[in-house]
Amino acid sequence: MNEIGRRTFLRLGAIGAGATLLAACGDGNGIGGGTGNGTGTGGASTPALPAAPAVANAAAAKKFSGVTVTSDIPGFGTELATTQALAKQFETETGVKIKTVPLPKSTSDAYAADQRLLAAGQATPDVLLVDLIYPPALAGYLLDLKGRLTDAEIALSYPNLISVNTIDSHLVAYPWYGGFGRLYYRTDLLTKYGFPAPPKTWTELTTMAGKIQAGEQPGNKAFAGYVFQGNAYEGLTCNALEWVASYNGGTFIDGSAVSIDNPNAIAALKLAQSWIGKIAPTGVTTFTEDEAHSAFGAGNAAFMRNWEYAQDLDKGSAVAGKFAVAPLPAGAVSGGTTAAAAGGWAVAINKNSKNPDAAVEWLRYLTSPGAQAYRAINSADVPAQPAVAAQGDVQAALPALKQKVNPVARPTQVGGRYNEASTIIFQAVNAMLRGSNVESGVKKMAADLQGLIG
Amino acid sequence: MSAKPLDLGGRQARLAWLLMAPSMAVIAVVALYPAVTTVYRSFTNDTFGGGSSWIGLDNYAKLLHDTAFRSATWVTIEFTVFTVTVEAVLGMILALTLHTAFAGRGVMRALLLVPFAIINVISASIWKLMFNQSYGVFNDLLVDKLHLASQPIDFFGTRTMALLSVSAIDVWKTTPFVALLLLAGLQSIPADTLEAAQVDGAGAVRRFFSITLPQLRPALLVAVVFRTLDALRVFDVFFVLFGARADTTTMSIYIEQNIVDFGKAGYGSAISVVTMLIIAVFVAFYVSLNARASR
Repeated sequence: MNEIGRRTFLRLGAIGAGATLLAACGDGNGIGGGTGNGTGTGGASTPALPAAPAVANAAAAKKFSGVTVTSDIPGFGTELATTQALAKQFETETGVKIKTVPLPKSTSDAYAADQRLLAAGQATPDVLLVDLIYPPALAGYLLDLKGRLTDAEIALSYPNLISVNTIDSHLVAYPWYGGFGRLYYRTDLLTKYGFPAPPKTWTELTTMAGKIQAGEQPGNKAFAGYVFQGNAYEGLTCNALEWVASYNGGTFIDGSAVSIDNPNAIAALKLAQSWIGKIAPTGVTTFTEDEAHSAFGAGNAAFMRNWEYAQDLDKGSAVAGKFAVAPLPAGAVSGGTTAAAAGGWAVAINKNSKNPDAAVEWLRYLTSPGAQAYRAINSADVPAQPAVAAQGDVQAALPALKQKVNPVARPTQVGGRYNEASTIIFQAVNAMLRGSNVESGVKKMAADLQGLIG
Repeated sequence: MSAKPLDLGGRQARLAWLLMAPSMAVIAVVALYPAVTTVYRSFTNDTFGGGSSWIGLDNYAKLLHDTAFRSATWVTIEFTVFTVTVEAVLGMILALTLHTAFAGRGVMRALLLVPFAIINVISASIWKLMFNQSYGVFNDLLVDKLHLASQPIDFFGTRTMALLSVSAIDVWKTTPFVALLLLAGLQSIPADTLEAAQVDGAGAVRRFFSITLPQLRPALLVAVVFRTLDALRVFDVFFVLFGARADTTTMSIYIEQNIVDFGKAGYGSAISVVTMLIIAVFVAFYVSLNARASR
């Protein structure tokens, strides 16, 4: 180093500084230029939102007029807009000020952010959004809503969602909206290849997807029979859970025992492995919801596994009007059933909140049937209350709700270690999809999970 | 210190300490404190939301048998060695080209900085789209336009393909940086020695290896050290392209996973410390290489 003369050093330094300046300009351009993520759930073309529903509990909430409640809200797209509209409505009618905090897009980032604040004993946010996989990990920081909400209000939601959010008989969060794995299929292609109905079993799906792909691929090299979420991330844990559970192979960890090493689970995972390069592009092992949505939306897939939001392809995509939604196929074994991974969010209140009563009133409005219907219709958020899901206007907006699903919960009973468990699962399954041996992969997954839960 | 008046050297030393004090205070706060905390934490079982107690070397003992960490270390080192080598060679060729006088040289030098000026995450996302098997531009060119491949290539499929693809992005992005550092070095080499060698009948290749390259060594060292440090800490490109996939997890991703996703601050800190040591080994290697060469 001492050989660099002072002049050289200065010159190098000047270049470094220049490069930094240019990089800084690049930052500006990058953001200004905008790189949309292409899912199209939001955007400038969205028509103005209709007025938010009236606040039924306005009288009770008015007592806290002037108080400020800090609340997490979904951070993106139309979900952000509908939730902000609800907050405005609540402010106008009750005088309670809602300070909104948009959450990061990734659920584990959102969890990490909230968990740090809660662990540090912060009083805000007063109201938190909790992914269904995190109540066990966060329970200790959350207010018990039993006694705060009436039994009638609690009974409005699905019993299994209430039980997911009930930890040690405390209701730590109230279900807000859900999401289930669904099978999207191209109605035009099924007709073209002589299939009268969507597949009932995964084996049928494999056959149908294979036949359609063989017919379509000569004209469109990018065409695939089936696309799903195969990237190494939480979405693959959901997909794998659906395969394994539909084959009557359990849910990786059942109760306090690791259950994944069983013949049905292995059969399910082997079938999934056989899809890669046959009915699914090998690149599906890097697909998240976005990539599957893009491929199906561009007309490059016959079948897609996705959540209810993908219904937005009915507006202005290449497949608008050419697809429908069905329950996911069942495993072709005895005890096989359709299984849909249950996703979704609940609303919780910080135990250290300075204004828990005002926060409860905001939670009550946010999760009220009116607000849930409003968000279902305007931002495709699946209601967490069966009565709302059965409403005609809600079903018109989200046709998937007409079909019954068999919801399966991820193994969240492992509590704070769920992220580690899920990482073990999705990394193992991702490796299988890319060709590694299923039997030994399942053995190792089981051992790793066992090592985790002890 | 005695009471007798300081001599000139002593006073200068005192002034130097005085002048350096503010920057040293800043460094203590922003660099030393976090580093010391990380080392301390690596000896605890600190978890977010849980307790923290001293467990001595347990984290390091566990790390020895952690196959995921071993895999992450190899991925990172393979990536580093490959990209830094390619970048040094390509950067040298670019720098030599730009060092010669030709029309539009100024524009070329400015254009060179374009890849470097794009934010990593954004360029990685764009490359991810281009690499896509179903609708990416590379497969469109290879399969549909040029007919060089019979079916779309999966650029991320195997570990080797994935590492080559991600290396291509890194090379595209940072070769200009290496080239610019080398160009600055080239410009500081006096032309007379080269001319003298030419008069003595040395060919272009001989002149490069006997005169240019030795004088360029300090600049090359700076470039290679900078690139190696960056490559060993790589996070963004891998994260955008592969997420949490096991066989492409780098050391930095593994740290992030443990601390952020799993809340294991203690174990994550131990990985950070080991990563730092690995980086130190590389730097020591380069410095010793330079010291030996300059003897």
